[in-house]
Amino acid sequence: MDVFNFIAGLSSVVGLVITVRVWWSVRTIAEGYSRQALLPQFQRRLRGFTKNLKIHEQGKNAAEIRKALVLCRGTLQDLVPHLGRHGKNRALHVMGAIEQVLSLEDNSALWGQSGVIIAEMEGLNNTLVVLTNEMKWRVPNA
Amino acid sequence: MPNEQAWTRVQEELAKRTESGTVMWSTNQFLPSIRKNVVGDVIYSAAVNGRMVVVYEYSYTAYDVDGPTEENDVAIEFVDNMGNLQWQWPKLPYRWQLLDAIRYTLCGANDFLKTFLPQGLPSPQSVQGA
Repeated sequence: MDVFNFIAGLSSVVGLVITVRVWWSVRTIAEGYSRQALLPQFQRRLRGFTKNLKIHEQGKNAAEIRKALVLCRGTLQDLVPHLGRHGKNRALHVMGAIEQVLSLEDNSALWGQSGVIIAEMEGLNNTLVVLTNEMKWRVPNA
Repeated sequence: MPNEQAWTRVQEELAKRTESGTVMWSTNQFLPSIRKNVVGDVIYSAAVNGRMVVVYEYSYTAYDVDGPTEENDVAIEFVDNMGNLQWQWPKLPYRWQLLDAIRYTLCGANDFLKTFLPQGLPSPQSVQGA
């Protein structure tokens, strides 16, 4: 009787472990496909918004620079939950840089720091390329 | 460092002087060839305080959440004698008013009003009372 109970208990534990493992695998695969589906959308948006920033930075259009920065920030916020720890840290760093530029109340200060903004935008572009590459790399290994 | 308030006043004043005829603009035929996406291939130029200023409308591709869209904007620039860009003015709301004032004066809209309404333009009071 004791042996029977032991086997029954062991079977329950093994069954539970298998169920959890299957659930985990299905979840991981689903997340991978979800990222794969979202990746092109995020890439297109971020590339486009960065182009906006460059155009309006060159054109000294403070209002449109702010608008483009807000769009970038919003897209990064949407992107963060889909990133790993390293990518998330980079995205948060870029969002922090965007916040700093957005906190400039005087538009003249925004133009005055155009060199800084260009550097920020170039840094943002490079980071976005790295981020999207990381996403590409992560999906097959998810 | 560009000063937003000062350049807003400059653009506003330039629009006023254009309307009053103090600043005279002309269309420049060769300049569109060295500018991108100029709407109508028309660039307006004027000498203002010894500096050559050009104004033109241009189109560009903007990106929104839904994707790319075509947008128009107005550029105001200091240029040299060859039409090369020296400095682009900041984009401020009066740029559209300035462009409209230039087009209004250059096409002779005011003369049209005077000839079309030979009794003279209605005063604001008579318009309100109508």
